[in-house]
Amino acid sequence: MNSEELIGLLEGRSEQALSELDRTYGAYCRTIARNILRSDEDAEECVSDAYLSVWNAIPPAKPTSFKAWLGTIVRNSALRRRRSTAVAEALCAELSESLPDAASVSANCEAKVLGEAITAFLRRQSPQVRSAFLRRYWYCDTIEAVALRLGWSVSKTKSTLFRTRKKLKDYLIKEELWHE
Amino acid sequence: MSKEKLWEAMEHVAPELIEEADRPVTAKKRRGRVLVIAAAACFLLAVGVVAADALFGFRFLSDDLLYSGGHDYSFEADLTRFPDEQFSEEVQNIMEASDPDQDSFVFDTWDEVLDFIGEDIPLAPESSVLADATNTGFRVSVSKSTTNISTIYTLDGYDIIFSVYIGGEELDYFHVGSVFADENFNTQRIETSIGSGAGALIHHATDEDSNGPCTSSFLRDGIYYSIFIAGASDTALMEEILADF
Repeated sequence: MNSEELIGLLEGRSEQALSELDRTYGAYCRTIARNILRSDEDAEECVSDAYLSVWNAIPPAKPTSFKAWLGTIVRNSALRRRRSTAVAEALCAELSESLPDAASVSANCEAKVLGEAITAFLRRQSPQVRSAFLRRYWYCDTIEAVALRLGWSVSKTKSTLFRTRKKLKDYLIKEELWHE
Repeated sequence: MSKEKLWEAMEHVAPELIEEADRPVTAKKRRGRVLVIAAAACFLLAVGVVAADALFGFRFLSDDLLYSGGHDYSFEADLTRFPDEQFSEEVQNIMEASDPDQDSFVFDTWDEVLDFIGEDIPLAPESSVLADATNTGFRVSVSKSTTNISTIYTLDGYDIIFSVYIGGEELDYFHVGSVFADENFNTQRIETSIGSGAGALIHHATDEDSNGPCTSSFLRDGIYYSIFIAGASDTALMEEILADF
């Protein structure tokens, strides 16, 4: 079932909607949740909560990129749980390691603006590098999972992510979104 | 709080990029593997003592590819000292002014670099393999002793640092390169050639995962070229790039 049809079922408050949602996107949602929570049980609970959020949001919401929107709901739901803290903190630290400390963000730089800048930066990278970065810092895949997905070695994955983080830092500084 | 903001910002990355990252990846076969086998001038030297002789215009400053207490394996060459008037008028003016604020420029294409440097400096045409890759822009630094050109290409998921050094009138010594050597890596040297026939050296350091820095160095018409690929699993991509020069 494609996303338009699924949105149609949700808008029509069809009983089939959630089962179709799970059938089409269940594995995708569980992967995201499991990456962050590292527990099948917690992941299952998180995904159920996310489905409820989707049921409550549509209508009136009508996301154009349904899969990404759904993934964001699951991701945020997982990150809000206490069990995600260690994973989230580790990835946050890794992502920011090449950035200078404290008081370095431009005063008016909201997360949304930074997100748009990260998007612009990622569009300049090759598809594989972009995929590696997002699989690691959005999907929260382990390094090994990123390497396996892209057919890379673990050390190549680590060095690619390291260089990409550094290039992101340089880009944010150049765009005056981050100050040294 | 600042660093957390970057993490929070990931939530706002464009949805189409999020979806793209979840699409199945088609495994890419390493290109040019047959070149490693078929190249007539290519053979592998085992790690060990190497005579400190000139090879392809390079002199080795140490004679062991093994890690030795933090010492990288270094080599040098004599570059051609191009007289000022062989450079473009624009470069000559920059050399004469010697203004440190104006001695670094960025160009979008290799053709623009060639135009800037001047047609009387025999720079190699851009490798067609690299021409298809994205790059960070070509940064050119000018001085009376050396003019340096550098960029980072991204190709097949690798970042490739490409550097060129042109000797100027006031060049008196030039240490051209060093090869990564570390106790955790096994460094090998391959003697090969570029497409035009000049000799080239490839040094590939591999760790237990068989990946590591791969560097190539060659002299062409008195100008030094260096290509660095981090985390290479083999030398096939490097061989393919070199064959195009």
